[in-house]
Amino acid sequence: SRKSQILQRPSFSMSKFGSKSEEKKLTPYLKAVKSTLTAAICLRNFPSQVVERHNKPAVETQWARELLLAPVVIAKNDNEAVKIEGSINALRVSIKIKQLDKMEGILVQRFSSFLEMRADDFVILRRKAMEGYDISFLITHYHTETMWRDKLVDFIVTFIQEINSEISDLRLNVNSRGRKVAEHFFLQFLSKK
Amino acid sequence: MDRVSKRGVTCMAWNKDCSMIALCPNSSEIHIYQTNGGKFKKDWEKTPKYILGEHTEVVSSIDWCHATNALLTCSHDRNAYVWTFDEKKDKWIPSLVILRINRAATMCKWSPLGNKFAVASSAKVVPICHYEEKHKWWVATTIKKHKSTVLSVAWSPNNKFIVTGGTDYRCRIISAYQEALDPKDDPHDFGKIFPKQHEFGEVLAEFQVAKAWVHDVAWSPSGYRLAFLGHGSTIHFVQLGGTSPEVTSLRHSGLPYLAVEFISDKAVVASGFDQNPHVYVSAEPEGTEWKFEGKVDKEEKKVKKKKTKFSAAASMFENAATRGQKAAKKTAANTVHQNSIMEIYPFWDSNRKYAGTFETCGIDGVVTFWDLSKAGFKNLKE
Repeated sequence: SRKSQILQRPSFSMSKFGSKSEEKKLTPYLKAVKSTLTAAICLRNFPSQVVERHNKPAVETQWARELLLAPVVIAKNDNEAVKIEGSINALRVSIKIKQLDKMEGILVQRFSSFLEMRADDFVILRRKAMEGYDISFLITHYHTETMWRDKLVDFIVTFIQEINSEISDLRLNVNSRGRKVAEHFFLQFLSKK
Repeated sequence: MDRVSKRGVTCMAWNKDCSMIALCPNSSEIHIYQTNGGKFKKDWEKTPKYILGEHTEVVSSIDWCHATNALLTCSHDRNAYVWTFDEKKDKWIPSLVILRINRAATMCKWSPLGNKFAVASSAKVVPICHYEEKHKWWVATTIKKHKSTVLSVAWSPNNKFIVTGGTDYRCRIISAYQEALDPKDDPHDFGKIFPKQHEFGEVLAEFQVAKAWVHDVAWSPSGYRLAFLGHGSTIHFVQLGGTSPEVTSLRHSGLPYLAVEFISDKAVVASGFDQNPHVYVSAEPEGTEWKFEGKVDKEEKKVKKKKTKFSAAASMFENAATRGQKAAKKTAANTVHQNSIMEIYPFWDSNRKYAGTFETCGIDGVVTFWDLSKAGFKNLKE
């Protein structure tokens, strides 16, 4: 019935991640991101030189400049960019998602905070995105010891690939839902035939 | 499969007759397996014969002295232990070494004669330890020339020099000569190129070509050649003996190397994040010409099991439920190692000139054996 159609929530499917990516060819932007990540994800166990018996991600503490790699920003345009900060035992990837208007800005904010609140389950997600970016990943050598490095890189590249279509799908859903709600609202003012 | 530990193997060492292997399964313990003479895990005893548990943090390096049968281990808990085997009690007895470092130890190596050892540490120093017979303990004298964590150390065959590499982007040859422990004679004639060779702690040569973290260093059996790795996927070879050391640098197109070892005077094996040991060969046992010879792991694609219609449908639903995907994708890498190779252990012949076979251990937990002649490499010996 019409009522059930309107009250249906817009669907958010995570199944898009990883299903068709291999069939899609990578754009030069994503190829650059992938090759930089493949190099930067070469991490090793490195005990802290500042605090004894501790092991800290060098990219987060930023205590020793010799342990850090030069940060690389790969920007498709003003709106889309990826910042890759490497170090000897950890890698931080920050993604700036395309937001053309305020509606997309709100959607991106809600989407990333949804994921960031569940960062523990996500394992490689950073709880707070870096300044100027919408979402950040922190990958440490503990992660590369237990997970395949090329799969982690594939995941991030697919994430970047799919996120734009995901946000535009959400925006279309918001618009179409708004239209349906308004239509149904005005139905009550029409004379019954 | 050759997997010894699910968490990975950080380091390993074999005893002289290869009847036992000591390894660290990425924890604070050291497991010693009886190998029954076999180099593959399937020939070994199922459970470790001895589990040594003195360390409190991950063990970063193990070295087995073939001269004295003493086991040396060092860990991120700032300690090193020398373990001696007690035949009667069938136990390994630890002896704590007072390294006097206030940060983690990253690598430890016995000197060729077995009377001293070097420990590379995050405290930017390298203590050189020897045994004091009077007090019956190991005493450390420190070498302090480094500006950042020292990642690796290797001894020269003359028992006098060490080469170190670390995160200050430099590879250094430092004298660790101690009068009571080292022979005064100089068969290599190093006195001509290193006039200060008998001064303990003196930096004899420093190489800055790597311009990236130096993960591992190695010294050739003759004592005239060195190899060190740079994180920029580079490998550098040093030829000593002329007026000054000559460095040759090679860059390869893959991921950086983590471990390097000489297997003869003219051949070197390096491996790392590419999960595949690479062989570099020099035409002559002296000189600066080096070239990449080939990969040891031929990366054959794994044979797929035949699938029935039912199993194909079942796996499709399983993948959709667990991974959100429609089809099962290739999961295993084509190399034997599924993650980076941490160490290479060459099996030397009796006069320590040529190692035609070697063992590798990786952070995927696999410990496996490689035979270079079977892999198609020829003329690696002198």
